[in-house]
Amino acid sequence: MIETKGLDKYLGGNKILDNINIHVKKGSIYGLIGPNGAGKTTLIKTLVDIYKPDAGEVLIAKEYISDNKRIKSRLGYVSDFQYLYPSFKIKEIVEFYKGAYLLWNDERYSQLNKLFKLDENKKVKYLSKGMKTQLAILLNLSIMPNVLILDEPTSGLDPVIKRKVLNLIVDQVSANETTVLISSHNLGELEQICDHIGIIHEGKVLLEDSVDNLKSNVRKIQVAFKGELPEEIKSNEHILKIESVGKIHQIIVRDNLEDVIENIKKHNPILLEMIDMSLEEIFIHKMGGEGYEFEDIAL
Amino acid sequence: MIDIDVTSSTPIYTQIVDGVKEAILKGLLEPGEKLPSVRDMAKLMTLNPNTVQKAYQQLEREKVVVTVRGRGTFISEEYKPRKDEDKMNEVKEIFKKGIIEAFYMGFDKQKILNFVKNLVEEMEGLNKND
Repeated sequence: MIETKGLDKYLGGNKILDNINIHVKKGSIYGLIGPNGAGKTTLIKTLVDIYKPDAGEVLIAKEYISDNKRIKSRLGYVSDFQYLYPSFKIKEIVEFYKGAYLLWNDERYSQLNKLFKLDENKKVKYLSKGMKTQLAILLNLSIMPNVLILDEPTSGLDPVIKRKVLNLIVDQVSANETTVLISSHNLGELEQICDHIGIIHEGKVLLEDSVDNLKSNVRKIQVAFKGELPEEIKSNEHILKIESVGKIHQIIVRDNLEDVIENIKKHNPILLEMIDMSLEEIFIHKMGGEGYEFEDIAL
Repeated sequence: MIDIDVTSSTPIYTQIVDGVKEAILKGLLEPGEKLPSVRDMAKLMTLNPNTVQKAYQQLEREKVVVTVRGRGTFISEEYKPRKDEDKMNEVKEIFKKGIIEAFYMGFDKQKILNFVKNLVEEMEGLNKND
């Protein structure tokens, strides 16, 4: 449903996006993750045609997004910062959206506002950051989107509202098969609602996979041997990383888990167990391999 | 209804499958009982509907549930918990861990056996009350 082909984008002479290829299936919830400054927001702004790419193309529903009014009328976009006219009342913003989006649905809007309870006579400038985000989500769900792109939608929301927002997104997908792309730093949250994940770093896609695959392919094993860790294990190509504390070694394995385990068993380990890894840990290890890692600082 | 641990390496759809089976074993879900729709379940637990769908399909393939078009998904009347070998090995590992713990706490063989017996009786008691 969303596809990019070799996107490049320069900003201020710096290459922010470098040959980005992502693929988001219809009805899927796609989590876009990456460290600060990886290019997430730039990518999102390019997806919604705020930025023109310097190379490559964005396709939504198999059509080029560039100046495509028809596709954009069903494209919801919640930015990381809400640029709504400060002196407008909420009801005036609603009128504005009604005029701009062909499929605006009043019924849907009032239904949703029963949940959020935003005072329509309030001016935007008197809304808190969280309330502005809620308003943006409310507006973008009322345009009956078939693609919804959200840039850090849950930052600044309290846990109750955050839950409401996530549930709304989930329900939007079940009810209307809306395709969702969501960027967030809160990996726990993404893990729960996303089926696919794309990790970007320094403007490149490092990895794109289904959450189920990621979780079953990258595993952590804890082993201990009477003596040293055998060389044969250390040199296994499927091992991403080994961390050792005394006799105990924690080994991160990608793919071919069975292979590595067979290998370990041959050397009679005195301890061999599997340890669960959250998406956050997978992310940290993946980033660690790319030289994005914080050194332990001794104070 | 089902505990989902997002930090676990077990994919969420597998956790749902296991959770439904466990609920059946405990008698919380009975044969013929209706499961929430995919949409309701996703909303209830803030999970991706595709993940819930995948779990329901898996349950259907394993004949734990049946889907009646237009009416919903129901716990199968014929479902009998199946002792497949993988699952047995998994269970064995869980027991082993527990036994090692108990051993280090100073339990002897008889105490451990009694312990297990009591737990089984406790579970049976739960089922009788249904």
